[in-house]
Amino acid sequence: MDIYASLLHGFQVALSPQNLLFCLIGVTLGTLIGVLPGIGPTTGVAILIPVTFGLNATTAVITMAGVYYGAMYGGSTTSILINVPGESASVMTTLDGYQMAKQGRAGVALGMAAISSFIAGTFAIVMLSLIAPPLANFALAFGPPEYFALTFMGLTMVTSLSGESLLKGIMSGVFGLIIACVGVDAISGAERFTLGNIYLLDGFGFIGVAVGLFAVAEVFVNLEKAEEQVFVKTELKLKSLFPNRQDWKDSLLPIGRSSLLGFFVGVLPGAGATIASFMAYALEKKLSRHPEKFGTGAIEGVAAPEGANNAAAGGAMVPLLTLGIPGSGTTAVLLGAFLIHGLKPGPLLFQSSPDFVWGVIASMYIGNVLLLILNLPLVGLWASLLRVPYTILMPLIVTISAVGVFATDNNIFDMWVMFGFGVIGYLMRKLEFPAAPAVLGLVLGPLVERSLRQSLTISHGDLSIFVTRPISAVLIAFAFLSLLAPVVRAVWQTSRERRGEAHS
Amino acid sequence: MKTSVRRLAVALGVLGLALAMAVGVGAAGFPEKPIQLIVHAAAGGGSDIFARTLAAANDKEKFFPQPIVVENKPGGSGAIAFAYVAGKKGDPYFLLTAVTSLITTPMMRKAPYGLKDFTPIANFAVDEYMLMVKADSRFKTMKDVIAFAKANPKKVTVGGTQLGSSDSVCAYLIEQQAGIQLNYVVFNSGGEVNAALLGGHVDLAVSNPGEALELAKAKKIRNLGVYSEQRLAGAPDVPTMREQGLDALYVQNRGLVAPGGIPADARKVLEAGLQKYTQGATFKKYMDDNMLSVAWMDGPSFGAWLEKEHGRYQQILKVMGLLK
Amino acid sequence: MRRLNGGQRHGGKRYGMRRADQITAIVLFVGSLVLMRESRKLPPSGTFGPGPEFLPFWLGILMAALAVTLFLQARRRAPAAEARVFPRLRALLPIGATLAGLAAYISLVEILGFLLATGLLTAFLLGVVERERWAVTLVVAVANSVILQTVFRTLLGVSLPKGFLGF
Repeated sequence: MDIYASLLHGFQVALSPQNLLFCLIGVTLGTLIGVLPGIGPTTGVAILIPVTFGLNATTAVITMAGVYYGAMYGGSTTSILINVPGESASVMTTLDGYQMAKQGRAGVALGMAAISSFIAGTFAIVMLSLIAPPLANFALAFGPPEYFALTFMGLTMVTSLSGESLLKGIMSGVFGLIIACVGVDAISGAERFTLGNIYLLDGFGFIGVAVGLFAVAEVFVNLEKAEEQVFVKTELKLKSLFPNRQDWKDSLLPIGRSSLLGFFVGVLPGAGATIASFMAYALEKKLSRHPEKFGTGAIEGVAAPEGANNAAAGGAMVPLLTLGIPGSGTTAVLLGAFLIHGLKPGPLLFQSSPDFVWGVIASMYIGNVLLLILNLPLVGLWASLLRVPYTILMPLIVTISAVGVFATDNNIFDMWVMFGFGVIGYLMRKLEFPAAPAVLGLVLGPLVERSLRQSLTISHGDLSIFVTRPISAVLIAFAFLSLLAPVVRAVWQTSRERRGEAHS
Repeated sequence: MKTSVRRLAVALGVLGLALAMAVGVGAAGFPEKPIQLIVHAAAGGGSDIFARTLAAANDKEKFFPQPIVVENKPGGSGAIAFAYVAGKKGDPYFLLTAVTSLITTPMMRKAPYGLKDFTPIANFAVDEYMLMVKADSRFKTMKDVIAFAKANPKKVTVGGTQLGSSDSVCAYLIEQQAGIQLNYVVFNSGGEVNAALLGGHVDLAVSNPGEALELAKAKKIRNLGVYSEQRLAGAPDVPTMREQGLDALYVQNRGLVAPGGIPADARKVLEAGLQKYTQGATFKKYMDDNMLSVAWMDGPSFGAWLEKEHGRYQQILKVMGLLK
Repeated sequence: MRRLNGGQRHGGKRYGMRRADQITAIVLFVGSLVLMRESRKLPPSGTFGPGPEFLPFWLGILMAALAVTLFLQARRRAPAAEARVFPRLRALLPIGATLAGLAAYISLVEILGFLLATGLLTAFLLGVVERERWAVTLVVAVANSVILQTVFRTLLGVSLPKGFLGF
């Protein structure tokens, strides 16, 4: 059967009234789960497993897949409105999204997030239906050295996430890497800096740290200047809710690039949506003609990470469906759901259950359209939330942050993590250390370290493993370029300034 | 007047009946409220699916008169959940998923609690383990692996998860039995191990039949041996390690324990209810879908089994250098 | 790269950015030394390549070097009139109160139960920290705790802490 016939057949499956209904239920629930901080797509899908026992396999997985990519849509909402990252994959969205909201452009940011999510999500599904098998083989070519090169390159991006001071940006990144060391070191089994606390065996919970550094710190900064109105009063006209011509012009190319980038990163088992969103943001800042606007409310800073995380969610379906290999926490849960419903995930899934595979793929096209229809009208509703005075909003932000952080692992300790990093985040804000590099270090640190040590285990300690393999060599070269470029530029600039000073 | 008297009589009758029923249940005692089932791993993992299947089956088949509520307490290879349940001494309303980590984690983390702080309730199944190579690997049998590894110590790479995990013990058993040295590479998850094997980044990988058999059917990998006493029904062509001269046996159990010191009759009720569960349709389907082998043990025999395994792990982990 | 704190020039000089950077640098430098010392206590790796001590140790060195750079950079900067980094004590008061409320909340949520604790925290933040009218405070506190409880516990099945009162 060729792809188009298969896909057509898939649409017949997906468009049955029952499947359509459950697709709608899935994406709606996914949006809700995405909006709520802490509860992520992984937990959302897991909760659904027993609920879907009575359904047939295709309907069940259509629902769960809907929760997965639906959560990617919803994740941007709280990031933009109140600086609380809804999901780990939408941390980057807070940087410019929240600034836009402060400028009264929350509606535009939310709208662009939904549109970017739609375009990137649909792009990923098209790629998934057309070239999944060759792509899976490409993903397999990524061994430990390639992951090291990729994540190392990601780390060098702190240079572009830094604010005004490059030095402070790098220090923040190193701080993130240091806190990432806490916990059991998987390779040796040794405990690092856990202080005998069992809650630190797995390290600091990412959501707790991110919500502390961003959301709680922001509350403190706002409390300082209580008299000042935090949000510019906005006329919530329908027009101001949608991106204007300039917004579109600024966003289209970034959406295209981050769709591509996000998809490929998503296909790699061991990378995922969070890393994709970081990389897409950093890439756009590097390519932008006005990188100084990033972090002050640039629309590309919303479009890029939101596009990338949706594309990555689609990409993660590639190794799952073609090889039975989960590329992320959520697809691992989906794999479990396959088993529960009597499906045998693996390379033969396309042959043995074409109805299922193509039905699910087709439902993702439909689900993305449903999400766009669902989310665009919600934009106005969400944006009008900002008309609530900040005095009332503040307790709501604090409590929803706390419960969301708790819900991640049902753990009171995570609330303390949020508390502690809230204080650290406030100090960092006052001392002008940017928080984003720290979060980047925390996400990438374990990956960089693990893949470095895996590679050296395989090569018996020989470092040449990183440069003798083509993909790894190219990525390492890029990493050094991106690392050295700003340093060289800065040194050159200071020396020129000094010469200028000497002359005057 | 008459009607109201009759109503009163009916009401009293109903009340009496309800009381009688309550007393009746009270006589049976336990359970009078929902049972909390603590999962030591994150939502969506093998133990979580096991627990949620059990809870859903109870809703339908009612082997307990009260619902089972699943709660995940992930973290530290189970350390958080184990400490939590160990602290509920004497409370029969807590159950805990018990797999190999219940033995190994307290050992490796020098925890203040151990097996003595839990009451074994039942074991349901075991996961089998297999060793696999990529389809085009030069290794055709375990003999090839051993011969090559003998000539080239630490050259053969094995992918698996965290040190101390089942994967790492399986790799170690081969080293110990064959007198060879392998090069164990730690990955984050089973999925990443499989990807590394398929990409040719490691030579061998430890895996469960659930994943391995589908990949083998697609001719992506070959299974060199299974760590069981007899060949598996689902894979009759894969020889056991024993057949190949390696006395390497390994399974991971799937059971449930309760906090230590719970009333004996409550333990009995739990055990009986769970045994009823294993006879239902949901359980059969769960076992088939996840390619598990049935291994029912009641409380006392599960306890004895845990003790035996505890001794064995103490030895293995010590040699692996994971116990200080 | 070099940052001059132009712009707002009100406030005292006592806690200017130059001074703050120097103090931060010293704190981070000492922290790095501790990190390096603690890393050396970790067991060496049994396999090839670096062990568990490798990354934290070198991060310690890197952080120490960066801290020294920050210190020197701050010292070189002219001690011009600068905005104070931290606000005056009076502005810090609501932050301290919020922190205290949050700490009390986290400590007590398992004893009081989610509903009550969340209601109290909301009321405290709104009524005491933000000095909102009591009627508004009451309505928001009740609504917030009930809605959060419904969404997270009833809808999503999160096992929120139940207190001694059983809810």
